Amino acid sequence: MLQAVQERSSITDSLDITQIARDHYDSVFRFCARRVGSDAASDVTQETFVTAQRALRSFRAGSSLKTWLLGIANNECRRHARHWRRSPQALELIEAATPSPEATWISSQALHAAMKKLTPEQKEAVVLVELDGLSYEEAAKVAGVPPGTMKSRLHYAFATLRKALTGETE
Amino acid sequence: MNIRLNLKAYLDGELAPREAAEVEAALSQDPLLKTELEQLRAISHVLAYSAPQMDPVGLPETVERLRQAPPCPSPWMLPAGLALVAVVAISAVALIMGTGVRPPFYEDSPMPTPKHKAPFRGATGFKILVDAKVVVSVKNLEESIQKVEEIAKSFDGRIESSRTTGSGEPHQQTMLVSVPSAKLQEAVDKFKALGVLDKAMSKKGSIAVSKEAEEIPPAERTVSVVLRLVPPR
Repeated sequence: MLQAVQERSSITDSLDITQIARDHYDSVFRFCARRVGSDAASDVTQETFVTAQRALRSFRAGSSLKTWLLGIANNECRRHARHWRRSPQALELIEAATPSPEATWISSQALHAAMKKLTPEQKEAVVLVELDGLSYEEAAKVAGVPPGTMKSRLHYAFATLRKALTGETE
Repeated sequence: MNIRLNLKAYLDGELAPREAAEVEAALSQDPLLKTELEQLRAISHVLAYSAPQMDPVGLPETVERLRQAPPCPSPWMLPAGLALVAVVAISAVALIMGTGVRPPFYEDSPMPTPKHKAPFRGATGFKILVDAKVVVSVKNLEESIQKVEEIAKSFDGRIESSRTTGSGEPHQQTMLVSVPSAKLQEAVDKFKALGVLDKAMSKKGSIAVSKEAEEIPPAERTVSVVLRLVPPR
């Protein structure tokens, strides 16, 4: 058993947290900025890596380092929001100055209004997949829900957005 | 089945080949479905296009802070005296919406390794670091978190970790607390008194102790408790 423990330790010991920070800082920063705002993002990102440094031994070899870090970042963002006694401002989309050329039938204002119809869980799903660029499985791990739940949340979120944007009724 | 339920997942390439083939067959026969797919694709595109561009700052400061942090010592290299410290894991869960929410995925990972002993694994493959679990319902999550911290402090213990879970407003808290083993039972009783005890979810004694765990000398065994705080309905 001791051998197994030592093997596991050698795996985590081989992970250099400063190199991990260099490799993943940008994606963690953007993830945090979407949730706590760009002003607080660097502080929350730093706390994410400090927490990761302390918890590095609990990282499962073979797991995705990226989703492990984003899970910690998600928690740090919530902690930040709780500390400042406000909901994560996250999940609020900042409208692009120029509309997408491929979907001119969707105005930024209409999209913004449609997003307000989503539940917090649906918004989180949309941001994780559409903005953070995670797969359903990765997004589910970060949100702490089964992949099927993530898929369902996205389906209903997009059904709501589509109906709101096209004016379609049931 | 309702093909529309899979339309978004099809768009994202998240379907198994057989399911994707079913969607494609339906799309070839249903122009309205195809229109819906294009609308979903357009929404997805606009969302991505709407994402603000942010230039990351603060990497040098973060790397410097990480370098200054003391290295985490190997568990088996620590003085044996530290083995007297028992770890109490407190999992505090408060449900506001009335249904259980799984903790973030990384809490599914093995809990942080106690600093005073080597990790070990149970028959299920999970490390056995939690020997008991206490689940209580509380009316005020923040106050209860503070009480847990006060209890830990009063027993010369410390908070190892404290994690908020639940989407939107935090409605559950998972805490890992260390207290001296001699004061464990007394501390556990205090945690139980924080709210309404959920006896079904609470467990006493070692959880899933395996044969491997028996190899750990009793004096060095980690004694732990999981406490969940759940607001009354």
